[in-house]
Parts: sequence; C-alpha cells; structure tokens
Amino acid sequence: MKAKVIGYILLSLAFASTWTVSARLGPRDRRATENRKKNLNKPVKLIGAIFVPGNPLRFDISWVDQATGRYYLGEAGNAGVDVIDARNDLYLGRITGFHGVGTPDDPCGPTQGMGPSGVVVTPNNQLWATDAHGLVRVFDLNNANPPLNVSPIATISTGAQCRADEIGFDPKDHVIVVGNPTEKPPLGVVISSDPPYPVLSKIPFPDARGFEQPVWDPELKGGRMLVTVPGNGGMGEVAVINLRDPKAPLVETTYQTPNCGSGLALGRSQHLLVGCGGGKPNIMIDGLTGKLIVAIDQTHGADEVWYNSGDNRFYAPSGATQTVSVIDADSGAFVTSLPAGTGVHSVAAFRENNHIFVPVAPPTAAAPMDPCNTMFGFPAKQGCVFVYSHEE
Amino acid sequence: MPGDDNGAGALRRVNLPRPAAPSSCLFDGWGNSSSEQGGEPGPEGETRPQDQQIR
Repeated sequence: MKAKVIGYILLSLAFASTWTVSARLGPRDRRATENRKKNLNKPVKLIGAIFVPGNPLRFDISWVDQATGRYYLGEAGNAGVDVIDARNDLYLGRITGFHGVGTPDDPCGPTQGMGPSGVVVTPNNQLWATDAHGLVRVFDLNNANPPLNVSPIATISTGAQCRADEIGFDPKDHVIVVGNPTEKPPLGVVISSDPPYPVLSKIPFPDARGFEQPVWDPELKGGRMLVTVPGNGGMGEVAVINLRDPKAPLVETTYQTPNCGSGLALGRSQHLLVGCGGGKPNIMIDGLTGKLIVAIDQTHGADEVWYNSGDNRFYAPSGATQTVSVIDADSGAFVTSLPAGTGVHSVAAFRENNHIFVPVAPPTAAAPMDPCNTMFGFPAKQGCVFVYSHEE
Repeated sequence: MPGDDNGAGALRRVNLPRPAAPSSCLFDGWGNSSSEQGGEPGPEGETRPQDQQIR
C-alpha cells in the first residue's frame, strides 16, 4: 500500500513536471517538439539546400550558435561569414570585410593566405572569426539584423604571417584559442575574450605540421581545452591544455591518435570524435584517458566534425567519398552514410530541430558533379548548403 | 539576400518539382555515382581540388 501511495506521488510529480514544461510552449511548439522526438528514430535524410549568393563558395569552418539558432560559415570565396537562420533554413546575409582568397603573389598561397576560416560565437553573442595574415575579427551580433552590415568591434593580430585558422572558446577562463597552423612551429594563440582582447600567450607545438580544432571540455578536470594537432609521418595527437593561468598555458598531456589530427567534437560521457586524414577511418576516443573506444571503419576521414546533442550523433563529412557519415555518439557505431557533394569538409547542426548543415563546393575537373544545380536548380558552379534532418 | 533572382534565401526542398525535372523527384540517393568520380582527395594532409577543401 505504502509503495502504491509513493507510486501515485511520483506519477503525479512526473505529470505535473511535464505539464509545467508543456504549459510554457504554445500548441504549435508542443506539436513540433513531440514530432521531433518521434522523428529521432527515423533515418536522417537530405531535405533540401540553401543557395548562397555572390561568388562561388569557398568555405572552411561552420558553427551553429544554439542560443540564437544561427548558422555561420567562414567563406573566403565571398570574403565574409555567411549567416543562415537555422530554425527556418533561411539565408540572412553576410558579414563582410575579410580578406578573401589568397592573392597570386601572396607567399602564403591561396589557401593559407585566405580568410575567414574559423568561426565561433560566445555566449554574449560575439562572433569571433579568423582572417588572413594572422588576424582575428570580433563582431557584436546583439543588434545585428539582416542583412548584417556590421563592423568589427576589434581586430586582433596573432602575429602570424599566414592565416589564423580554427578557433575555440574557453568560457571558464574567458579566453579564445586560435590556431596558426603554418607558423614554424605551429602555434595556438591565447587571446582574452574580454576587452581590450589582449594576446595573452602562445603555445608552440615543435613537432607538429599544423594546429587544428580547439574544443572546450567543461567536465575534464574542471575544464580543459582540447586541440587536435597533426604531426609528421602519420602522427597525430589530441593535446589537453590547462588555461587556468592563460598567460602560462600548460599542455598537461597528449593523446596519441595516429593518422588523426583534424576535426574534433565532444559528445556526452567524454566521447570524442577525431577526424582522420588520408581517408583513414575516423576514431572515437575517451576524453578522460585518450584510449581508443572504436575506429569507425565505414568512415573515410574528415576535417570538421560535429556532435549534435539533439539526436546524440556525430556527423563527419568526407571529401574523399563526398558523403556525410552519421555515427552513434554512445557506441561509436556507424549509422549511415548520406550523399553530399564536392569538397564537403564542414558541418554544423542545430540541436533544436536537428537540421544538419553541410556546405557543398562548386564542381571541379576531378569532381564534376554539381548537385546544387542538377538537384535543386541553383545556378551552376556556385555551390550551396545542403540541409539534412530526420524524416518527418 | 533572401529571395533574390538566383534563388538565394529559403530552403529549396528535395521533393519540390523543378524545371526539367521529372514530376516525381523524391531524392533517393545517388547510387554509386560519387565513387565513380575516382574519389576526391580527402581533407587533412591531402591535396584538395582547386583549394575547395580547406582545413
């Protein structure tokens, strides 16, 4: 009897709690939320594409700011950061004023001389985007309405000759970490995220051949920055950096990840997906120990990878196969491979609606298919942004 | 800008009828077409076609 009473109480509490949450949402929102939950068991599919105006796309890193539902794409082809409303799959505009593609006489070359590359948005709604010649630009997006004609509130020099590349934010220590992959040696540069945004320190990696994706891990030893660092001769590692004293950052340990040192994404239970080079299978490792959990044999390398908490999956585009791999973030099991297109290596997802955004590059002589044109009727040789989601 | 002449702006869904497309064009994958291209160089440490693949 006693157990029965307790059962009723628990049931009532559960019902009240559900009702309280539901009562905050309108009927349409409630229906949408319920539908999304039901849809999680359905396969992820390509649902459409978004055309981005201007020059042909030439992109690097993308990011979805979950708080505002906006997708940002570092896009040197148009010397700007493209902004898409991730809730409604709508192109909003472009934040301009970046360098664009490297000029022919640039000693850094067209790629290492380009910008923007990396993008991240901090909780106070500031966009940090890297640019050519070691620059980082900061934009206040709080009053930035479409078409997003905003000027930077700060431009910071990391001191590098070629591009500043990928970027991550440590909210605990109020610092941004930026990669300078072509410096000798490759560097991570630590910048205060508080005005006047001084450069605080540099973290050299003497044996590296690059500096890839910084990812903040809030639960590792009270908060650590993880960075993928590709090495020479097939070496690769994930560096664990303590930024408690950002003027004297400490590389506490490195996890060896042979052939893997590009994209990095953190799922739950300290599961890290590491993107690999040379078409090698991507790997999932334990963020606490660095031990390999599983190599996902059906995948074939990746640059940027993304964890979507809305469906608890990792997404990993592969230019080698022109597909996007979907991976169960708990087990590391390969779920499916989605058709994509030329040059896919950038991905970000909006957890609220589980829309996954993957920019597709214009066709090349080696990869002549132009699905943005042939599938969607967009202008030829321009590229577009593919959008995937669970079937409705 | 949203809604310009080139179709920039809103999502164009895969199952919308398009000019010169069959009346039913639900997307059902590309079969082996991508692998028939000879495999595009992957990211991270590989050659990238016309610099489109950029780390």
